[in-house]
Amino acid sequence: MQSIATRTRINQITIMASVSFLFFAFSNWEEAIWVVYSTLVVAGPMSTFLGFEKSKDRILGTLGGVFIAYCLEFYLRFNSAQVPVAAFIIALAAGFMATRPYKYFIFVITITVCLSYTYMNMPYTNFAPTSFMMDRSIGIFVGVMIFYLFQKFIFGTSNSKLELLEESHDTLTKLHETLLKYSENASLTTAYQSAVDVSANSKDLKSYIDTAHFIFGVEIPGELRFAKQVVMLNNRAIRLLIDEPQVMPNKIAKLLHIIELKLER
Amino acid sequence: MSVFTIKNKFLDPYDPFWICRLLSIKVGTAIILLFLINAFLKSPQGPIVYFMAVMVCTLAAELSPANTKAKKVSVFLALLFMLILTASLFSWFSYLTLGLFVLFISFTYLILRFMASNAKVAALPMFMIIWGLIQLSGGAATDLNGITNNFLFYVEFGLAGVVTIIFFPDFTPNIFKSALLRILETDLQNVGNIHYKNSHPLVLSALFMLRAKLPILPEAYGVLYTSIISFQNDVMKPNLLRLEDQNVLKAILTELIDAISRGTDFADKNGNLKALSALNEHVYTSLSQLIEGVQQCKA
Repeated sequence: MQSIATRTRINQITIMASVSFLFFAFSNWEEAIWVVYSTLVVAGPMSTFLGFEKSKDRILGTLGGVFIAYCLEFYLRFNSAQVPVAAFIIALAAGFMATRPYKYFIFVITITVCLSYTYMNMPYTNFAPTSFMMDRSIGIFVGVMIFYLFQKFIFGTSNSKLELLEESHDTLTKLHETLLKYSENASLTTAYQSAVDVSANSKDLKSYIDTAHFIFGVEIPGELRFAKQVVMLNNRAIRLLIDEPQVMPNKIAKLLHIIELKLER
Repeated sequence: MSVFTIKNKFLDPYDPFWICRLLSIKVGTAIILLFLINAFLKSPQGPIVYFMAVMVCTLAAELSPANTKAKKVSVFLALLFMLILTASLFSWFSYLTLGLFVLFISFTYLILRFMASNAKVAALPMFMIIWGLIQLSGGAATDLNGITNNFLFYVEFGLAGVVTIIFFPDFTPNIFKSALLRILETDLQNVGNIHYKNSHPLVLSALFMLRAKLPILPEAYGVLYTSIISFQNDVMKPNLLRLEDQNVLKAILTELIDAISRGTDFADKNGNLKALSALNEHVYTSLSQLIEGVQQCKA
């Protein structure tokens, strides 16, 4: 079952994708498909919070990737027998970067996609690396701009607030469940396992808070304050479970009571 | 020192848990097979399109929660089938501007509505939409015959991914030992540090990784997991270890880290473990259990 924020976000993404597709269909520009890719990739994490951070990383990673792809195109134009070697090295790099921060991943993906594009249209590729670099860069810039303009000036922050509230509630519910489960079967191993679970469950909320300034600016709405409180409760739970000399059941019970009160509100 | 060793001073800072290395080697293997297959096939589209699909599916199968080879192959084939379906749909409509526009909007909306139950699982539907668009630039097949032919080529190239998944060695113990090493290295740096806590982010991530890999490893790893938790709890909580205890503990941890990374036995060459038993019985018991666990996993 999708939440209200997710459903609204899907509508927003469909609108942004449609506008960029119309740009591709009617601009009569051969490389305008990169506008659609960019809008979709930036909107890809679904969450507005991660989308803003991703757009910044995408621009940085793409510029680096396009430049390397440009150099490789020049090189491979005169050394075509080495295409498999280059592809192998790029594949190794892509595999390595798959779980690394997005900036580095998109850097390798840009190289892969740019070179793939050149070679998937063979023998019709014109092998003009400079125009290729310019076209891709402009396409990506326009795609990111469409995302940014829609997000900032049309969609606003209301769904972002709802998204933050839903994520906070979700994290708080998981914390409640984890602590209840721990209380039922308290042992040293379960204390550590619960601490690890609490830490993993609060990761998304922490990343939302870290990127909240992209959306709210200097303003600190109530939803953001609540999210910070939830993270504090998670940190407190971890401390109680594994940092104190001994796990105090009464302190865990007290924390559970606070969480229940917050969930009721 | 090779890329296959558990400890690599150049790669460890970027890949603390051996995951990136595993993915890298796997995708590298898949692309070699793809180039070999390509030598015997003449694909209707540029072969790089099929290469990309197979590589993405191989990566996704490895990153998915599937923990057996059979499950990974199933995930791989399911993903490949979804990409083929998307490619076929977009190819079919590619020569109709309005038709393509309608397809694109409906596909985007419906696939996100029914496959992205929350923001965390949206990567796959998003990639499927992008994959559909990529087809448009690669000489898409627009008739049923071309689409069927394309489907068969996807399957033929997909064999490279299936072979990679089935015959690729199991590196899960390397991931487990890497995570264990990260905990021990953090401990070594913080012996005697009264501000050090087990809630250190690297320790929590490593513990998460250890537990995630337990279901696919032999039982001895479960014992080692319990031992490392006991060790963290008994020794690494803020306490006042005496200076001589700290020095001996550091020497033992250094030797243990070295033994795990080289895959050799812990030999206690300098008799530090014996010295620790006389100095601090409590720490000695915990540490010897951990060493025993490491030895069991080596066997």
